[in-house]
Amino acid sequence: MATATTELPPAAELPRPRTLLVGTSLALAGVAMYFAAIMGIYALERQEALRSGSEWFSPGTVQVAPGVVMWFTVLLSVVTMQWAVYALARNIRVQAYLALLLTLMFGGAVINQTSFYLTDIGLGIGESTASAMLFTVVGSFLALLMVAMLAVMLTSVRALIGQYSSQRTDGVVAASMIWYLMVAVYTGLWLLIFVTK
Amino acid sequence: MLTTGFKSFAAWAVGFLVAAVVFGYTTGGSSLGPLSVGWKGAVGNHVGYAILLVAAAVMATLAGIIIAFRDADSDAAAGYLRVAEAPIGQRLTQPSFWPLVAAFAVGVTLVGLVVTPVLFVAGLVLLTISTIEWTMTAWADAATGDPEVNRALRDRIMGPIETPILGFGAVGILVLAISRILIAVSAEAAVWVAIGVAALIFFTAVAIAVRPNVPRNAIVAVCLLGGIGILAGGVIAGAVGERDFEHHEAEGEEHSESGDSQPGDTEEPQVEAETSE
Amino acid sequence: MTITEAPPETATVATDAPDPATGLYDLVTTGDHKKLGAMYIGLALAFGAALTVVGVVVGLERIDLASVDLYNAFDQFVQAWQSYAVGLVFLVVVPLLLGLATAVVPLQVGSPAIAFPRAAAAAFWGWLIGGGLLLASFIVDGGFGTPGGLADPEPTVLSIVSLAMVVISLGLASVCVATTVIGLRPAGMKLHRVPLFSWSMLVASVIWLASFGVLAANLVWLYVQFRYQYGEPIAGTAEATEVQPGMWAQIQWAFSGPQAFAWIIPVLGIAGETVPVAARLRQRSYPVLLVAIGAFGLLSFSAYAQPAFSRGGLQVTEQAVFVGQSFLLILPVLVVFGALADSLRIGARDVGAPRSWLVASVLGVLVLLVGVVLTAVRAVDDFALVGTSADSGTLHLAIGAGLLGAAGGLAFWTPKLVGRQLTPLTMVGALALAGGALAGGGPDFISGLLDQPFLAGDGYIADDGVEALNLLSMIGSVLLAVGVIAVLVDVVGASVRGRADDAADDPWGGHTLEWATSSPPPPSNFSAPVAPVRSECPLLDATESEPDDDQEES
Repeated sequence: MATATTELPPAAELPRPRTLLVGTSLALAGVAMYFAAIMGIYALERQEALRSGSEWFSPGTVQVAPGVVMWFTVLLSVVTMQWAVYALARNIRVQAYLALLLTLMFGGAVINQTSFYLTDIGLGIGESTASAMLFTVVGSFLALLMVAMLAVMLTSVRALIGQYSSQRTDGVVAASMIWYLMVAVYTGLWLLIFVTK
Repeated sequence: MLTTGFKSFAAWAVGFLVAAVVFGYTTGGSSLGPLSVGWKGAVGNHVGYAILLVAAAVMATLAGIIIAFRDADSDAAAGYLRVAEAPIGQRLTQPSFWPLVAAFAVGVTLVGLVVTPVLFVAGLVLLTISTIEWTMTAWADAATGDPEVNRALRDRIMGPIETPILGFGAVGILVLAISRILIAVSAEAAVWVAIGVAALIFFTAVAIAVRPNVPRNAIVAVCLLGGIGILAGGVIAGAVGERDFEHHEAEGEEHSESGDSQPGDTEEPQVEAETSE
Repeated sequence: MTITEAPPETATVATDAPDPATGLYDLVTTGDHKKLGAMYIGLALAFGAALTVVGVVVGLERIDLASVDLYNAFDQFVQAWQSYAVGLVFLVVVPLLLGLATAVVPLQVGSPAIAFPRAAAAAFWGWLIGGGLLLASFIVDGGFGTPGGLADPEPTVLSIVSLAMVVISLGLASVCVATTVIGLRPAGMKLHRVPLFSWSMLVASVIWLASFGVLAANLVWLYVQFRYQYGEPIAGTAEATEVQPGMWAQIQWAFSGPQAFAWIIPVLGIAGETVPVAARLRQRSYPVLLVAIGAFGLLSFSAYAQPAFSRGGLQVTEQAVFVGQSFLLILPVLVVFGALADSLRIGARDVGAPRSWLVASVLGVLVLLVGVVLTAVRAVDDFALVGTSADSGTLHLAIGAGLLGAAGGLAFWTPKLVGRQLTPLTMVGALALAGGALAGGGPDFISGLLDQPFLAGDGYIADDGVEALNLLSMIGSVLLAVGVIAVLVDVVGASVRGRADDAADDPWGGHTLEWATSSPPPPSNFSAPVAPVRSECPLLDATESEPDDDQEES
């Protein structure tokens, strides 16, 4: 019986393991500064409103419960995101895909909860400085969440087609860094909007 | 041993932290406010304090990351990969249109924020397409060590998706452009334009069919010129606007058209009640 | 198709550099850092030529403060000044330095490419498209709010979003440059052995990223305020007037000291690179220079000091941190200046005829020193200079120092990038830039002491001598324009003429890795693997070890 042999192309060179992570960290530094400034402006405008004797939001507009539910949702996503990194680093691929999917699901849930909340409170964006600030801060957070979800989606695709494995995890780790920053931002946002009011 | 990168970022972190606390106190912070991040009192000016404090946190995080990577030194990378010599960090990539398209898409999206939501959505769609294409190209570039194989891999996966989408997109744009031309010119001229375009397409196709040896470049040039011509016509027609249409009420009466278009006064269709006096 | 989970176990081969394409296709698809850098430099200089001419017209208008003569209204004059300030920082100085870094830093750290080449390309195109939109928005009556509130609302929103696009794109380019310095170094090149220009770009990139984040937040909040909080403002109505005067105040921090000096951090690195080469010696106290540049980065960051958000009667610019930082900023510049002067003193015999790159980069540090000293004076509350024309004076000096540094860098590295040296025209340009910076910034500062407000006009009665100082400042603007145009003409001329037949790969006796490859370098930068690095001057190491080898052989 004749044996046919197929020559495989040479393997691609592995990239330096830290380059993508360094780049991601630096980009996220800029993002973190964005949120520092926008939240600082929120806190300052609120302080000025309260100092002048006017109310920031009318009573009942900002309730702790929805904020807590959303916060727990993003906290849960930290576990699944880290699970994805852990599983991929050990080549447990099915678990990694499952974890990435769950992470995306939690992200989707937060978008859903946030949009419901913003609709439910019935404020128009230009109604007052408070509502304009609320929509700016929460809208910026939603934009970050969507970027984080896009990063997770794209790395999931590249993991599915075999590029990320225990030999190369940088893409998934980079996506997880964006995700963790999103969670940190939400934690700050939760404290700023829902807790300190 | 502490690395140079760690020492630099840590020094910045300390600098920003000291500045944040001092700034908090000098702008009206209470006794414990600036030290407790506002938990036990006022922090002073919120904007400046938040920016300086987060700058300190960011620098501290970067210090932690960079020392974990041992400054991302070549030797550290080699040690991590357990090879004698670290791989080349980055090679020159294959040429790609997608960075330009992505930047253009961002521009369209932002102009859409100013002008019209339609443009905003169009920009987002273009941005999504370029992100997917960019990702797949980046994936293919690192699939094997042979650029030819990588290109073939990419085309094999993306070709079946790109071709129909591009085809539908191109046909859709051309149909839209022709439709703009047809509703901009007079009713009689629209008939002649339709016949002319159809005849042009038909006879060009016949000419190509009976002369199979026509150079490929000539066919491409003819198609490109035709496409650009129709697009340009569509854009001009869109700018001129629709001709006057007389819209009848819902009794099912036939439309009647008043003929030539008048630039400037045709942006809104006029109802019969206003024009039939 | 079979999808493998892990790459096949074969010997790895280096992915070949792509075939060099040519023409327009190459320009729009390239990820080659040298071409991207060249495009940044060319376009930034072209923007610079146009914007400095705008500066001349603004200067002419300021000569006679009693009335608005060259513009239809005072609001238009303000818009022109805003286009000049915003444009010179974000379309000229920062991209010029980033372009130089994009082209040179990968060569300096021995890398075949910049980190994330496609992201670097996207950053360039984003900057170009955003910059084009920004200029277009100014042309069609946009800007960042006018005192009379007469700017057209839609172009004003376009100005906000296009500046955001420019800032984000420059941030992305900074990430690519900083990652190249951190992550793509060859064996042995520890961070403390990185060339001073690369180090200054790392410092600058980190500080710029932090500043860009804050500026983006300001712009987003401006957008929301303008678009939603005040409804759809109509030009000339009370609604538009209510928000427009406050717009510029929210981003003004980015265009006054000390933040204005954060945009030109690499000037110190460029001088640190050129002076030891001119003096033909290793820079003494190299780690001190690294620390000084890092400290300059930290102390120039003042995105936190936003007067628009100073409330409760406490001005942030009067507080200890701002004042202290303004004074401390002098120290690192003095340290760098002292160290470089020391090198020039020791190596004076070997310096020979002054080169345009040495003159430009040293003048850049000198103008920077003048600028930071005046910034410290401006921070003293008793002088009450904040909010006066001293603000535009410090910006003028910062821009002048940045342009001088960039001119020095271009004269130094153009032979490497295109294979041909610049002509004495760049020397003329450097002298004009130095004169323009000092004549443009100094008089503004003095007229600030005479209480001329920032953007005075529309009925302002000037003290004696203020208009004469404004005339001098206008002459400074003319010199600045002449300097930029001279450098642009020389750089374009060298690029068009291409490599000279007698061009040397290392015409200056350089110390760092970029001089170890051909001029211009091949697509992958180095034709042979880079040898392990043992100090901050790898080429001097190689030269100095040669006699030892000979001795061993003998």
